[in-house]
Parts: sequence; C-alpha cells; structure tokens
Amino acid sequence: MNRIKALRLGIIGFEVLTIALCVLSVYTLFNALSTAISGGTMDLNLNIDESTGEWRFVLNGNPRNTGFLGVTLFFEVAVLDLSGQDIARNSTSVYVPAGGANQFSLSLTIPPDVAPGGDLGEVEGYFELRFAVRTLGDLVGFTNILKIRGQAP
Amino acid sequence: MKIRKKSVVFAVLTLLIFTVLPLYAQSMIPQEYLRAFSSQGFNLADLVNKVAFIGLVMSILILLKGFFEKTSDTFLALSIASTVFWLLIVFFALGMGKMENLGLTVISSETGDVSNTVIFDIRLFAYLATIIVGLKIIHSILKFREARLKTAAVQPSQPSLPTAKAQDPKPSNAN
Repeated sequence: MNRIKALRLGIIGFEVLTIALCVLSVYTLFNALSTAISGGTMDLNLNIDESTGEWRFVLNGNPRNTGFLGVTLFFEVAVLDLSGQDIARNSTSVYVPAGGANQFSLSLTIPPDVAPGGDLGEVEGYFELRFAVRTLGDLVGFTNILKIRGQAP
Repeated sequence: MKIRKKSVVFAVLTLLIFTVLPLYAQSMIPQEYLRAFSSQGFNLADLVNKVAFIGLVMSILILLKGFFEKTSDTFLALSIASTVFWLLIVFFALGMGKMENLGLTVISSETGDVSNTVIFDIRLFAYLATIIVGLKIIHSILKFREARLKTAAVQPSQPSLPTAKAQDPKPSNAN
C-alpha cells in the first residue's frame, strides 16, 4: 500500500471517528438534559434559620445518565445585588458515569440583611442559576444561565 | 473543451440538495411560521439563503473541476478551494448558521425580569474538522504529484536533439 492510499484511509478513519464522537457527545448532552435533571431527580428547598435569620437554599440531586459517555454536571447558584456584585455564591460539580447515577448537594446561605423584611421575593437584586453539562473529557458542553431580577413591590 | 460527466452529475446533485430543495421548502413554509421563528430571534429565511448560496458555490467548484485534467495546477487549486469550502460548511453547521462562532454558539433571550442564556460549546469538532481539511489538502497535493509523475512516465521520451552530424549539410562536391 503506498503512502497516498494509507493517508486516504487514515483521513476516512479520522472522519468516521469525528462524526461518531460528534453524534455520541451531542446525544449524551441532550440525553443528560432530558433525564439527568428531570423532575424526580432534583429536590429544591428554601428555608429560613429562625435563630440567625439566614436563608438557606439547598439543591439535592441524584442525576442519572442514560447516555453512552460519562458527563460532568455543574451547578451554581448566586444572589447578586443590582450592581452585579455577589452577595452569596456557591457551586458544585458531579461526574455521572455512562449508565450510572451520582448524588450531589449544593447549599447557599443568604445573609439576613439581604431581606430585612423577611421576604426574599421583595429583595432588589438578581438570582442566578447556572447549569452546565460537559462530556467527552469536558471538551464538549452545554451551559444554561438563568438570571431572574427581583424587584421591590 | 471536454468536461467529465461525473462532475456534471455531482454539481447538479449538489445544486439540487443545497440550493433548489431548501429554497423550495422555504417557499412551502407558511408565512406565520417564518414570522414566529423571526420573533424568537431565529431568522430562517436568512439561514436558508446562506445554505442555498453555499450549494451554488459548491456546485460551481465541482463543475469547474470537471473541466481540468487531474494533472493541471488549476485542478489542484480547485481541489484545495473546495476542501476549504467544505470546512466553511462545517463551521456553518457547528455554529448554527454563523461560521464566525467556530462551534461556540451563544443564544440569549430576555423576557421581562428573566434572562436566559444558552451556550453550546462544540469547538472540539471545529478543531478536528480543521485537522481533517489540512490532511485532505496534503492528500490532494500528494495525489497531484503522483498523477504528474505517472503522466511524465507514460509520455514518450523527448526526441533527442539533432546531433552535429545530422545538422551538417550534405558535403558539397568541391569538384
């Protein structure tokens, strides 16, 4: 086999591998989006500590991965003031192997002076939720950033 | 000037698939849907026009390649141009209609007090496609060189230069 034929075969192999990886990773990403964060796998709680007046936001999850590749899930929650400065921020990431499940917990403590009236819904600022799924050694990914502005009534 | 039939067939097929069909499909979509897509920040008509333009350029390149011998410099240049053009098509697909994204697409929307940003990061495949195109260009050059060498080997050897003896005029009779 001469070197031109060898190169041609190599290119075809490389193309097939690239297409296969692309299909597998995109399938895994969308699969993770639809199954890993479905209703039954997440539990969200927002409580107030009566003794300190602090708000405690807790997100517990047990995401599943029915895709063909392992995925890394990243969660971040933050409360920001109107100028975009952090009041509270926390994040966590969890690796979920292909066909498996894994647990994670993310908590955020919001100081009591943020909501002196005791109602978080009346706080002027932003609540930010960032969620990311990465696969193929974290080389391919999808990120969703949701930002909600809270306004005083 | 002769043209290879295979090139004509491929050029017509490319034009049909990438240009005629998308434009026809677009004309079949009700205007309300197009307006609905447009209101969501997704310009379908623009996307279809870009795909149709890509198809037109691609079919012209394929057709042009059919005019030239595989041993000509123009054929090599057209081969490289069409390979690079394929890379642009890959960037176009990975960037969801925007080549300049190179596989990193950011879609933002805002409704009242809620803003949502979605980021697709598939740059890895843009890099892999670039490597593949580089290898394809090397392959085209090697193939071109091989075709040239084969042609040179097949062609009859150049007639030898006339020798001094042959050039000599017939000796004139002095007597």
